[in-house]
Amino acid sequence: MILDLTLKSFFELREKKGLKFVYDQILYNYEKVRQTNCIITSNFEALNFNNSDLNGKKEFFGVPVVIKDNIVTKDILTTAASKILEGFIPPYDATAVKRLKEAGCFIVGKSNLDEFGMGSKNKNSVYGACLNPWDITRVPGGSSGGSAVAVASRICVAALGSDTGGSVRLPAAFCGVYGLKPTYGKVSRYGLIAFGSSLDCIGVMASDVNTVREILNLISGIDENDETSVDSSAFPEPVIKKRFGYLNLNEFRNHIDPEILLTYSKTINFFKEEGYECLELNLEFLKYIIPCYYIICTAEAASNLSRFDGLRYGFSLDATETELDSYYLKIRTLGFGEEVRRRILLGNFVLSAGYQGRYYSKALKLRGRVFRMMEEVFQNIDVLLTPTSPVLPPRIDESQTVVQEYLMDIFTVLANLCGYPALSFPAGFSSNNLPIGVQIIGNLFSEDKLFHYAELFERNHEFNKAVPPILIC
Amino acid sequence: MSDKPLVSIDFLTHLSKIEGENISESIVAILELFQALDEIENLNEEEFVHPTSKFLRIKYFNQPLNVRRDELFRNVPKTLSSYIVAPLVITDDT
Repeated sequence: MILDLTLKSFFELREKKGLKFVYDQILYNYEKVRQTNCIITSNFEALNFNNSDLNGKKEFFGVPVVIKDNIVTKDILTTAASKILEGFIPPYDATAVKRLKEAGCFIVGKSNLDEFGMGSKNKNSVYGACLNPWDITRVPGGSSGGSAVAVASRICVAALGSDTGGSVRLPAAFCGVYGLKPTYGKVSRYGLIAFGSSLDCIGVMASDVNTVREILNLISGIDENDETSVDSSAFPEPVIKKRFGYLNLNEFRNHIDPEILLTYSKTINFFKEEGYECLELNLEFLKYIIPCYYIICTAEAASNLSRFDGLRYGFSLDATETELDSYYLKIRTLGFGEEVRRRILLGNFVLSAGYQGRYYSKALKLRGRVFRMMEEVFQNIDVLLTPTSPVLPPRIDESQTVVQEYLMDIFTVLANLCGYPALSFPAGFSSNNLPIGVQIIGNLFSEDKLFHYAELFERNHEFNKAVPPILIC
Repeated sequence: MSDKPLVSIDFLTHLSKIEGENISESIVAILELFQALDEIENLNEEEFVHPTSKFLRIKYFNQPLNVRRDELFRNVPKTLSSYIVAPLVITDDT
């Protein structure tokens, strides 16, 4: 019998059978899924203790969590899956991690990812690719692939990921779990290794809505170390209009897997049958959204990654180079993987003197226009439903061009460009038993509306309870 | 569509020499994707303000900092905070 590792079931098991029982199950599951390469720095050995005395312990005492390896953890190796941060042991915890630890949570490992969060498949990692537990010949999605696999494989109650353009939601969809990108500013970014600072968010992955909400409550809130963090507790409770929007996808129909379209349509029908009104939307800017996003994120990445110089932390070379610039050139060529180098080059190009107006400035203006258009859209609806991904999890060896891989983010980048919260939830399975996710996007700080819709769906379906075959055989 | 070339030949030659053809070809393909923005008109009056900035305590989102290329690694990592969005515009040509 494979345990259901939601927060509620963890609390019940901890109470009735003790922590050791739960941890033994987790260790058993971890052995089964070790081949997925979801954990790159393990702390599982610390679970081998028999501490069942809960007297005086905090509510979240012993809750096992996994942290994406681009979120710093005090005294635990943190590499962002990059050679350039080889051997880097942070002297401090990210605010989100600190809050989890203060609540009593226990870090069981650091999870695999695409280097610096750059990728949609979790193949761009110095530790090697991560595999999907539903079919190990397929990718788990990226960049927070390891976190999604850890939740799907029941080796933790929740995992933290980071989401710059869909990096929590895409792997959540591919692995059959929930993945929330909160409103920009709701969770402090202090200690998240920066990729695109106006887009980056720390997100939560778990196997039910309630766990996502509880973990979000623990980690969110204002932080003096992050000037962009917001105290959203004073915001009024959102009023549910019982009206949602969905996309007219005629223009994109040929680029979306038919089984995903079918699941999307069934999800829309479910809410209609529950008495919710719906509004079909034609978002004309959708075809421009990928270029807009990739111009901005590469520009910000090129700037952020300029701090990795091989001198301050991580990977370094013997100081045989006497000339500083040639040292930088060598260390950054050896230390960054191909996708990261590509994005740094692109980012510097779109910011360069002759091209900034054509690319970066234009993308920023388009971003402004998209946000104003979406503000009008949210006047009439609670949330917008979209597929999370246009495709099912690709095979590891499937060859795709870089542009094709970027297009996998078409439905997820909108929430990052506008700062909106967005949640991917398990909405069905394909004919070959691969999970399919549907995404709910809400207005700023409307996480409760997302939870309302997702919980209604969850109560009537049990896709989140399905167990990946790797755990059963 | 703009008449301006996607990227200068010198830049591409330099790029394939140092990074190999795999990266340089993919960069051209991505820049072709970026060209879609040339179709959009009337963007001039648009202004970008970060969507959540009304809730935030800082006001200087996305104001590019001008830096010289030779300053890029020497000075910037000490001064650029992750928590401030300030893309670096390289003022001498790449």
